[in-house]
Amino acid sequence: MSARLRLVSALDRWAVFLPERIAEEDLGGFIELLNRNPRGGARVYMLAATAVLFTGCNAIREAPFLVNQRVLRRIVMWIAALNVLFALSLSREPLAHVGRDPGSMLMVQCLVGLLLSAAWIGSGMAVWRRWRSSHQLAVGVAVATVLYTVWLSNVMGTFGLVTYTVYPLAVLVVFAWAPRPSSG
Amino acid sequence: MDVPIGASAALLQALLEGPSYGLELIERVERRTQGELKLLHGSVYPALRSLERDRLVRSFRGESVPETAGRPRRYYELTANGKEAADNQRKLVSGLFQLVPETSR
Repeated sequence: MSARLRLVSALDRWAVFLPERIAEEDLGGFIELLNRNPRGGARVYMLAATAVLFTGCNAIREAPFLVNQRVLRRIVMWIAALNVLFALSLSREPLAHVGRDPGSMLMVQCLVGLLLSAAWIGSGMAVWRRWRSSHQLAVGVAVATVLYTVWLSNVMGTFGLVTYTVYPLAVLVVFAWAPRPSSG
Repeated sequence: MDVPIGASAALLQALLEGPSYGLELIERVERRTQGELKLLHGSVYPALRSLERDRLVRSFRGESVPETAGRPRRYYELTANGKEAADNQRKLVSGLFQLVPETSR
């Protein structure tokens, strides 16, 4: 079995996780492109990786729950709750002990960072999609971002600031730069 | 050289030639701009869906082909609004480049 056929079969399996239209249209386009490279080589692996990345991003961007206001509010509430929990956990004695151990502190930072980054990306995409119709929500998130940044820079210094704020904001900028879907 | 046109506008112009699907539209745009404008495969489909939501294009499922591992292709065609928008874009761009008469250069 050639590398190209193996990759097409892997992409077929990936299609199970995608919405029908993206699995047919976007992934179908990438598979057609892949099939036009019968000789294989490094380009087919690059193409397959690009296909997974783009179809995954497009599936998230097209996800219907992101344009649902009720779920949107719930996402923002969860982020606020996560932030408060994180703030509280750092001030508690057990985690203060973890804070003195550089190794475990780094692990906690990474785990919480992952959670927070995912939450920020999700909320940012949701806010971006509904920017015009939920102006208050956008202002609220902007104010929260500023407060959160100030708090993080005090608690965790530059590392925390970069990990939990600058990186997710950079992702938001990338999403804002992408073509804006209409809200209809 | 910079091509003074975005992906959505390029797709509308390419669809003036007739209905087509994503990959062929990418090639159409590339051919018509002599390779100067290369649309990204990952961003063309969201742009097409966005045009559809704006009711500038409509889509329909085509035939299943072996090239796409049996998936049906989705074809796009301009709506009346889309044709009007494409014509307006064309007029705007050609008007922009006729602003300065050649003799005054």
